[in-house]
Amino acid sequence: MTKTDRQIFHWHISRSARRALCTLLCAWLLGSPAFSQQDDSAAKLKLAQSFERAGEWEKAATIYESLLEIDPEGFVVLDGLRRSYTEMNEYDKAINLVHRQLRENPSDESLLSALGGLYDLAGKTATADSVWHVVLGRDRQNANLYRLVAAQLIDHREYERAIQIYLEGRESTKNQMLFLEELASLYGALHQYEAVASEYVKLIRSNPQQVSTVEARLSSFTGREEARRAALVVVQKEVRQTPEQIPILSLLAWLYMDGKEYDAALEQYRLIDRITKANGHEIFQFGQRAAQERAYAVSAKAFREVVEKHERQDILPLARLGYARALEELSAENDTVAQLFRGTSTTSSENARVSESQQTFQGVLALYGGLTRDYPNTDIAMQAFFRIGTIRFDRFFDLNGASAAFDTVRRLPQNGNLVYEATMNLGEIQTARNDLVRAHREYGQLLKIVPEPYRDRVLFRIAELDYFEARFDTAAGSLQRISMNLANDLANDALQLLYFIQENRAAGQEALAEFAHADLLARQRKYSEALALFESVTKRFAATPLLDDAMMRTGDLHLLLNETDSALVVFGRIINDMPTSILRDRAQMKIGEVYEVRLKDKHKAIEAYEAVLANYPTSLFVEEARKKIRVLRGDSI
Amino acid sequence: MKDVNSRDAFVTRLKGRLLAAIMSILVVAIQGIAFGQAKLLIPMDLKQTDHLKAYGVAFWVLQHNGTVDWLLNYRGGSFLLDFSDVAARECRIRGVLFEPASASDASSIYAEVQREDNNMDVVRLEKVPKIAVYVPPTFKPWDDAVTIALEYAEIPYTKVWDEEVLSGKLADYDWLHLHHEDFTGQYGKFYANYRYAQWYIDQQTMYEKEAKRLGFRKVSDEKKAVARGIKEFVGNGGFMFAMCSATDSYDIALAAEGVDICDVMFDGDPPDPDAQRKLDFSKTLVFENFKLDMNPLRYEYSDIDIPPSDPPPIRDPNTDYFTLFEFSAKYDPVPTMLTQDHVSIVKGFMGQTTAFRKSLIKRTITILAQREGTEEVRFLHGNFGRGTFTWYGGHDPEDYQHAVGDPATDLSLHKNSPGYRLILNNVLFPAAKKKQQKT
Repeated sequence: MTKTDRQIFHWHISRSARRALCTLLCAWLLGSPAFSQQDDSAAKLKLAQSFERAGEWEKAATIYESLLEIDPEGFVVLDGLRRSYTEMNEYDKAINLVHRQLRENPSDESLLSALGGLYDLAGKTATADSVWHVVLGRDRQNANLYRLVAAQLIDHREYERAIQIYLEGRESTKNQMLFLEELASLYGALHQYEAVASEYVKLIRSNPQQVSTVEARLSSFTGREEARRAALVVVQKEVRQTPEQIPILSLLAWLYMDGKEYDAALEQYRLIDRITKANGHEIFQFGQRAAQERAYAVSAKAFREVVEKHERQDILPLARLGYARALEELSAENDTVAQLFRGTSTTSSENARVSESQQTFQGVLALYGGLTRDYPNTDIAMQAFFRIGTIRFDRFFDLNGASAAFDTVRRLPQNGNLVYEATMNLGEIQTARNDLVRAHREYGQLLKIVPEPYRDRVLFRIAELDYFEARFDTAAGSLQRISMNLANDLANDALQLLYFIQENRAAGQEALAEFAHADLLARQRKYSEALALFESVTKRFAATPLLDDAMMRTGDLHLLLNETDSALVVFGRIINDMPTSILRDRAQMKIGEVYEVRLKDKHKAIEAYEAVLANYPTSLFVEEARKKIRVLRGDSI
Repeated sequence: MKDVNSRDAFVTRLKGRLLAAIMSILVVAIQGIAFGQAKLLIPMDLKQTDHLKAYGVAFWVLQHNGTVDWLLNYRGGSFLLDFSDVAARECRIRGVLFEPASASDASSIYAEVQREDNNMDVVRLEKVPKIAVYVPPTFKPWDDAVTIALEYAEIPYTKVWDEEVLSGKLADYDWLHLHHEDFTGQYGKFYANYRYAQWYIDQQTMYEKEAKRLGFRKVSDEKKAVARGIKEFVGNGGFMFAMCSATDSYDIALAAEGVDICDVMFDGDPPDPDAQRKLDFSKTLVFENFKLDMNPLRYEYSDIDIPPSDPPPIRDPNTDYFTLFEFSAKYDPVPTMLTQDHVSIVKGFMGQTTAFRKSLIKRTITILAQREGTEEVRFLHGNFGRGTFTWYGGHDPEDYQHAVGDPATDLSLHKNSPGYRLILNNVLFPAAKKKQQKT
């Protein structure tokens, strides 16, 4: 490179550098205020929006106004300012602002309908209507324009006018299926339930897939009976006009179910089943739903129909099982005698029942028996065997029959909770047979395999066996462990038995052992023998603290043997002859219950309960006695 | 002669019988004085097992034509009634502690109560007050502490609403209760948080329908008319008890007669921009010079409520207490009756209107309870015309911060609630026999 070339090169370089420098300088001089102004505006906009959120409309408006001077066409600013003016009730200013926006965007229907809204707020209803008329007039076939106008009216709580706009839209578009949900919602807000249902019926007619959605929407009203009734009228009318529409029939059935009109609902499901040729499946599903809602009578009816149709082999076994379960529950409802003994005894309450309703259970047993024969080695059979075992044991105290059934459950291939339950019951049966060694063995084996929730139950049964067999230390140890787990309901039972043992050890081993044995006899439902032994305890160990407990058990056993008068005498003796007994209040309550439940003598029952209040004011039974008195005398509590 | 003799004999016999009858009456009377009537004392101090049901027992006695002596400031404001097995049994059944008092015990109690140097007195309750509760037909249990208290105490009441008030039916009642109502027509100012909630929408629709049915264009107009109707009831000798937002919203409605203070979402048109200036405080019962809060998105009516509900105040319930003022039982029996309690410092509780700003309360009003060292008045009483009114701030004395939809308080878990006692004092107040004031 020559010197000239270098000079030329340097000249070029310096010229380029000078240009770049100039450009940078210009950019800095011109650009930096612009950037700073943008930052400032953005910060102001954020501030205005914050004021808006805080409801400080005046401050927000002032900032928006200053921003508008910088950017007169800024959409966000204009919108914010309009909102602020509206909230400040400065409707004229807001209207001017919209007019200004409309000059730029005359075809913006959204803005125009907002203008109508502002006139409406300002009380200029006629002007508002004329503005909206213009909006709608731009395209009478455009559904969205009607929505825009109606939205303004809805904002102003003018539901009737909004409804009119939607109806006008329907007329103009000649489309009666438009705005179904919108109208239903508006009619709902006005509590016009028939109109709501009419819209939803139309919606289902136009789109049958919407049944579930409609049910969900209607459920927000049907809690009110008048709303459900109104909806029923509409849907029933629709069914009369077009009888075979499945979605409408489903809606009708749902409305009946919602009002617990199960028979009417079943009628609809029959119809649906027939039309859809479901061969009983619809009726079966209804039966399941009714059973879940504890409507056993209608559930049984539904299952029975499925069984009698005998068309769907896939659901037949489940329908038969459902039918048997429903009948079992209906039979159990008649067995009310157990009420008197519920939760009163320490060890024997669970199974101390008298089977008044044996006759009705025979039919149920036959149904379960049929299931075990027709579906051997299946889950259905397992469940049926378990129910047979439970009925045989609980209701008939048929130990062999129950044992066979539970044993079968245990041998069937399916595993699960039923096996644990069956084994627990087998242990109970061995106890009832007085084969406590085998009972121990059953529970011991079970303890090795059961998951955690069952462990305490098994342990408690083992502790009870130890108690029956007078191994009081062992029993107390187990009970102590169970009672540590306060999250478990069994902790209460464990504590009760534990305290009983601890309190009465002072009576002596022989006395407590005899008492425990009498308890075992009662558990084995050998009531007469148990009664004799408890009576013997009361005589032989009259000076021990066991006396009042033995008397209470005697009274309970008299009741189980239907010796009501004797029971009353015994409870009376506890009250009158044992002034230091802590069971006197309980005995007094028992007397009340006997008069109330067994003898149906309301006045004497009230007297007895009043005696609890008068004589044992600090008793735990006071609240219960009070409640019973009030119920018996018919107070509205 | 015979006739005269027989007449004399007849007169003699008659005199003898009359004398015998008078003697018998005297004997009975002397026995009565000597042995007196045994009494049944329902102590209302800390020994009482169920303070709230005790009011129900007192009411029950009145219903059965008995009388009850309310022993003001004696063992927490105890009740003394004639002993009977029936009354004793009723106390037991309702779980109310009582103490049988012999005639001499009763005499000692009366003597103690009436001693000049004791701040105690006896008020005889002898009339069964007819109670009305102003609630909409759709009211929910969480709406109203008073109905909870009345139900628990088993005191019967009748529900009334706008139509009954406007048609003058309040004249049939002695006592009217208002709770958590909004007499301004702004639907409790729940708009910001609940405008999409079904219950809010239903409530607004129902109120609008009712207003139209009763011939009003707007709910706010109708509610103001109702407020005036209630004022007339008080002026004619009625007793009004109001809690929570029924208090300040009531006075605001009276002050805003003829002034639109409701925004568009409430009544469909904009409020009067000059509403604040147009308020007429001479029409109110309790408050004056308050400033309206007309922001529809704020959960507050005015600056009467303290602390304001929006934003919700942050307070430690463990340190929120208010103090009941002590009045002279013999000279000021009315405020004494209203403040009977087994404690003098009561646990605070919030509400849409929690307490009243003292500086806005008219000078004629008697302040019954206040949060010490603050401007927060919790309980106040006043007279208007021939009637009286008592207002109590807060929503539920046993639910510190009761929210919409919260379950109703189970008073069987709060049998000794001092806050609820203040409500029930009011219920018995109209049963009191009016006696000559000492001043």
